[in-house]
Amino acid sequence: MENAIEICDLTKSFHSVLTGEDVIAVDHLTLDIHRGEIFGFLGPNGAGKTTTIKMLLGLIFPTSGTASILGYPPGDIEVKRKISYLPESPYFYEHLSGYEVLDFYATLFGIPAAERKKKVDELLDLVGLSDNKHKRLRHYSKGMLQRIGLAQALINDPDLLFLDEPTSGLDPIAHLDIRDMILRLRDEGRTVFLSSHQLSDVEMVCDRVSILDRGKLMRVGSLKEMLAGKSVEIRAERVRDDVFEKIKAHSSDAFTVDGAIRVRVEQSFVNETVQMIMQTGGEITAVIPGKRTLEDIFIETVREGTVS
Amino acid sequence: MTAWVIARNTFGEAIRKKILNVFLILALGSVLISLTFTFLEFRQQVVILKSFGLGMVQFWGLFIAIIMGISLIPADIEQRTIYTILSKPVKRYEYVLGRFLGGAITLAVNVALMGAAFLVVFLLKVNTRALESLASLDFGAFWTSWVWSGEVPGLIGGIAMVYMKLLLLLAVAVCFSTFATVTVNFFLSSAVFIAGSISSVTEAMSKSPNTPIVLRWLYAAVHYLVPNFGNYDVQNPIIHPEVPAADLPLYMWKAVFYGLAYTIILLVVGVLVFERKEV
Amino acid sequence: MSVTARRSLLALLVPLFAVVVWLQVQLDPMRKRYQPGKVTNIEIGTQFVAATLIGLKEVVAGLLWVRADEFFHSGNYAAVIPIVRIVTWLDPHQIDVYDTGAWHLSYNFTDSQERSDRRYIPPAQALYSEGIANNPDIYDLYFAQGWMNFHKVLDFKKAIELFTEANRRPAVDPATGRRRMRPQFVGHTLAHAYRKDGQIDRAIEQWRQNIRDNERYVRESGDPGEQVMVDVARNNLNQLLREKEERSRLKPLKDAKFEAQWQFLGPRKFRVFGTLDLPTGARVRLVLRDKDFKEQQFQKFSWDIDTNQTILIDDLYVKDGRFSRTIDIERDVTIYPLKAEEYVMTFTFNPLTAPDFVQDVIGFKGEGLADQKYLVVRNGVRMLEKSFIIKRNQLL
Repeated sequence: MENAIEICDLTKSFHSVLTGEDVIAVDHLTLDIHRGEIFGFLGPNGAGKTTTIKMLLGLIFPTSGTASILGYPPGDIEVKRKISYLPESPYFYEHLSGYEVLDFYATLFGIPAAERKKKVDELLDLVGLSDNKHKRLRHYSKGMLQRIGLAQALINDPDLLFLDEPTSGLDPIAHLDIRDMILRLRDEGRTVFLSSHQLSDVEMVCDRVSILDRGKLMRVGSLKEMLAGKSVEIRAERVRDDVFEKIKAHSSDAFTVDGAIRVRVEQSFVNETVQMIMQTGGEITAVIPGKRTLEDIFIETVREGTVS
Repeated sequence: MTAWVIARNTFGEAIRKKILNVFLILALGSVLISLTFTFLEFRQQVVILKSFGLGMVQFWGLFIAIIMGISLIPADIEQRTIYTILSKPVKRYEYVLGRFLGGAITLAVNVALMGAAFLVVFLLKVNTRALESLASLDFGAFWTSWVWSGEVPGLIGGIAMVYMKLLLLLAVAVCFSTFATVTVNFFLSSAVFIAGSISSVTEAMSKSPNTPIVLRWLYAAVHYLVPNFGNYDVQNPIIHPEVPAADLPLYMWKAVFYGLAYTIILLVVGVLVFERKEV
Repeated sequence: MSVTARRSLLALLVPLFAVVVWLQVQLDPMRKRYQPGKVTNIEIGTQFVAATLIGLKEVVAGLLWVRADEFFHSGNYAAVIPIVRIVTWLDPHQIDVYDTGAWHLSYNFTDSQERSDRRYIPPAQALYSEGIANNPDIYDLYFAQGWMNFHKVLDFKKAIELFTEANRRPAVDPATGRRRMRPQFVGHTLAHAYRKDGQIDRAIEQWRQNIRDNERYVRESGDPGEQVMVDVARNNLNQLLREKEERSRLKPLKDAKFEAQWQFLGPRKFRVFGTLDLPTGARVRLVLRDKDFKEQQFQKFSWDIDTNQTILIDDLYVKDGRFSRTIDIERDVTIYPLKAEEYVMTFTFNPLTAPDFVQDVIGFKGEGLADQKYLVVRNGVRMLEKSFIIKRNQLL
């Protein structure tokens, strides 16, 4: 089977007791997540990301629409053996130590005692908590809790991981660690469903992304395609001021550095710009196919959504 | 099996809970206070010792049962620990059963500790000869002449009845916690406890010819359908062993079965609601 | 959870509820045996229902009783009785409470000359009866009520009845809750009661029974200290046999030369006096009561006595063949309201209640007693009695 997750017309509305109105959290979402990919699930806070994940896990129930996870309906006991979930800012039983909490989760998977011990130690090692494994969770820092969260999400060798904001509130080093780990998971053939508003993380690790805004799917596609834009960056030296002013009028982004200019223009305007520079005695130093950042796309998408 | 894993963890969590331990300490303290009781005749003192001890076990047990019952499941939801549990291969009914079972074990340990403290105080105050056999390291004699004879088995029976009552209350609170908020549940469970405790009133009113017929039905409904906590108030024959209480053991067994049957009802309802609950 | 599983669970609730209701129907009638103190008793009040809720009913009862004890020591007897009522409602098995309550009623409401208010005897009897009904299997309250009749009311027949019941029942060790032999004095007291009632042969029989019982008890309890009770029983038997023998030969009859009079001294104040030629220490009982006085009957305990009734009982001591006493009830209007138009004043000498040295002269039942004017024979007892009918205005 090709898709790890198939979401079809999934809708979730909540009834607000305060206003007496129905609030639509997820609005007719249709989406496929391929096996073995890292899928970035983007959207501003309140876009409906966590609601979608909870529906996929069977923690809450859709108002309408369907979803299938690894071929099973959400919440099915069989599928729960094959997936795992790291909630946003996870909390665990504080009375347990790092070792005990992983042991508890491993027991829930019915892993036999001997194997459990080995597995738990391995995971503690993997997330770098071996030295603190007998410390109670109430004395753990936020970063350590996040690592325990990741470890518990790995305890059953899952085929599919749901990671909800896995890097939120982490220091830069921990940040990098987790990013590397996610990449390693993909390399091991697992599917990762990564929900985040940390665009830089998503940009660096995801194969495909979707952008959700106020419950609606705004965009979905491979990151490469999405970022590949039609603008071109032109770099030149000894460009006359009046020429620079002219180019600037067509450019989305233009500035000078030590007498050299860098401008970004549409594909259709490239020839004209190059000619203009060369004819006025300027020297082209580079013509670079332009690339947009995810942030550009994100902001653009969300802004479009607001306008429409 | 999964339920048992959750139960064990729940117990481990509960015995580390500050508020429950505070109640336990208060309970032990108030039982120990009765060491200082000295008034009137010996007989009166024995009566007060027994009634006070059993009463304290129940009084503090009520706090423990209700506080634990209303929070067992909501605490997991509140702290989001439930996400990592229900996304594991745990069936929802296993989770509810596990939480309840863990609470039941915690309650049993608390009641046993309070009960043991009470029995020790009782033997200290009433049976100084029991202590002599202990002091002379004659455990066999201590066991046969004091622990398994005299009033101690009766008192243990009384403590067991208190436990059944608290277990039923725990089940009520756990059942309600699947749909009510903690605060609402506190009042709801307390109200059910009060309504179920005045069962001799509801019974009498449902049979009194002075009650209007509609109210009679209402009282009968309350009497038979609300968990009947009043069934477990059998401390009087235990406090007064001289009064013959015919068929008391039979009654106690029936009351235990009643409590277990009702606990199952509450758990089934709780499970049915929780199956559909959005967490 | 599948829809089928869900439906099955829902369906399961029906039989489960049926089981619960079925059990409750069985529990209800049984429960009443173990839950005395009837919360339904509207008179108790809701504050006690609250105590019941948290399982502290017996504690409340016990502590109330402690409070009552303080009232008692401060002499506030009237405050004790309502507490007795509440405590015995809350916990009808606190037998000391019945005993103490009835004792207060029968002994401690007294007039300014230390005579007790006899109108409280029926409530005391009713309280004992209630206590016995609630605690019928142990000797305690039978004995206690018997003692009141033996010592206070001087109704020996009733005392014998109650002591006999007491003498059939065990006691309970408060420390262990185990049944044990009732105290050995119960049988002794029964024998004394037979003797007081003039049933000398029954008394002798009872002393012989006591000796056997006491000896068995010494063997079974293994407590040689209990031997003293055997010795006491033997002494009493021997003395009674001797007395019976001696008193069977009382000839000639003793002429008591009984006379009694009364004299108005002022409102609610009068002197009673007379002669009785018997040894010093003999007693003449004075009863002043409404002419149509009938002792109140209580089906259940109540302290609502008929406050319009008047009954005064006093014992007049004979010294050197004379007796005399000034009765001053001016300050005791509540006890002796004198509301009736006519009164009976009776002076009685009853051999049954006479001390031993007087009985030595006249026999157990007055067999050796004679009098020119006032001898009456009642229930086989030869006693002396003189009565006056008095109008209300003669006393005021």
